[in-house]
Amino acid sequence: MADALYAIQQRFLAAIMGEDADAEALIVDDARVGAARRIGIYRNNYRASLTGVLADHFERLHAYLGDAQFGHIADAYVKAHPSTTRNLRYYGAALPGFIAHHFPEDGELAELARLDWALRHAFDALDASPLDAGAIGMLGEQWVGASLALHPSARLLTMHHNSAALWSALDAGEAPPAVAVLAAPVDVLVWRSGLQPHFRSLAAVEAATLVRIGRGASFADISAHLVNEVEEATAMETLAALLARWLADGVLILADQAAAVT
Amino acid sequence: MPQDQRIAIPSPGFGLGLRPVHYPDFLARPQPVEWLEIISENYMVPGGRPMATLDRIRADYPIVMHGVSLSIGSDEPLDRTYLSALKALADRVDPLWISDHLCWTGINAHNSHDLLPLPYDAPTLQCVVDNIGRVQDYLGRRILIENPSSYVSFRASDRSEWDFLAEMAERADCLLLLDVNNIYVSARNHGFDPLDYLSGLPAGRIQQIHLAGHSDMGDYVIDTHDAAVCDAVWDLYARAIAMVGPVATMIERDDDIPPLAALLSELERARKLAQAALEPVGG
Repeated sequence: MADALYAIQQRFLAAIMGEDADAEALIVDDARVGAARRIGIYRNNYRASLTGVLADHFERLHAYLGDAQFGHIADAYVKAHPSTTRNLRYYGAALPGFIAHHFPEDGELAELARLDWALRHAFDALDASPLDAGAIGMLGEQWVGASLALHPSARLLTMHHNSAALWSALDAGEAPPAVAVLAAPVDVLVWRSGLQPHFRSLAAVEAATLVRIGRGASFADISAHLVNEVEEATAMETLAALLARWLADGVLILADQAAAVT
Repeated sequence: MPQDQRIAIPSPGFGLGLRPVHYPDFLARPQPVEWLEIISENYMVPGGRPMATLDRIRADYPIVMHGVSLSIGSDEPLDRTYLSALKALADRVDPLWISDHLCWTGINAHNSHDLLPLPYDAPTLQCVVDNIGRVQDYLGRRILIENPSSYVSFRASDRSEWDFLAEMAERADCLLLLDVNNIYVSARNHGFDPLDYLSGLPAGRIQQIHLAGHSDMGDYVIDTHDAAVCDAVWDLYARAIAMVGPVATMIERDDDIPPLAALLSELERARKLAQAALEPVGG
């Protein structure tokens, strides 16, 4: 008999998630509402809750596209990606890739989606104590050799369009500027400072250095690398400015802390 | 109502569902609620503002945890990852109690994110009773199971929802969360008498009551939680309190959420109705 319940549930869920599957035979029919309309309530709930959560997670992409166009894309995504996550918070992870695949000519759409998703990640990513001047002072001589990591909220995204400017205009409720392809790709750092998600565009040297830190480089490692590339005084001046900014923004943690919390 | 002893703990009073839009109200000053209910899944995230805010509010209010994806009625093994996250949240929050619904939300790794109704028959009852037992063993406490609202009845059902709930509660030795609006919604959708439902439940196991609004579509009613509690549900609530005695009661609002003051005034109505319902007849 246990198989019976499993079979009922498989058939009913298929009817909710897809338009084609039929589960009316499982349901008590009636003249007033009817089995088909009754199942339709669940089908509509499913579609509405998933497209609703996509509109919430991809708020600026939604604002950029408008209700109709975003709704069209969200419907197509929900059909192509039945939910396999327990918590709605995590539904939509594949939307940026879905958009990149279906709208290759409109690269700013996938970039806006990636930025929205990275900010959502930053919002409730794992807590970790960021390095500040006091923590570095406590480390003393160990500081320069200590393996570093990025705060668990931090992500680096590469933009080929002026998507960061589009996002900021949409966030401010202003008309977005015209889409433009950048002369050279720019990396954007997304992270959480305190409880607030942020992002900012990076110069190439900062982006490359943060990638190294993400792989566990120490301050000595990144110094040595930069000195190889530019004259030593310039390298030290650049690093001092970057470090001051990272400490103020709460971007860095010690790698052993990252290992402990993951 | 069946003969039964009081297993539910004494009522801690009246509460509200905690929603992010009201965080500033709860952080700014004390609010007239005795406890708050959280949606467990909203805090089954790694960190950041949700967890930081929950910790601050928990310092001032008792919390109850209400889940929407335990899927106690799915005919497959329970999701251990979900259970372990639920337990971790319970360890952090130290809730008064933990609840979820008599429903299933998915099967075979696919999730509807909806509270789907079950066929009410003996094999399903066995499945649900076994699963509640496993969850209670894992969490080390009795859980509350809420009566769902529903739009379909399965042909496989051979008993009423209230008979199913009553036997489930006794056999699994669990508690009940009575959603008065859900009784109203399902009574309208399936054509039963809400008073038959109320009188069929084991009163001594009812530890919490939900009140909410719905959308009346004419031929049927949808449980939308986006409106004020309607008069028919208030009447049913008064009948429930008269039958069950004092029970922790809250307003559940999930959409079109009004300013906190509007919900507090609805809660005040619940306090007054409950007080009136409990006054001795002729006293």
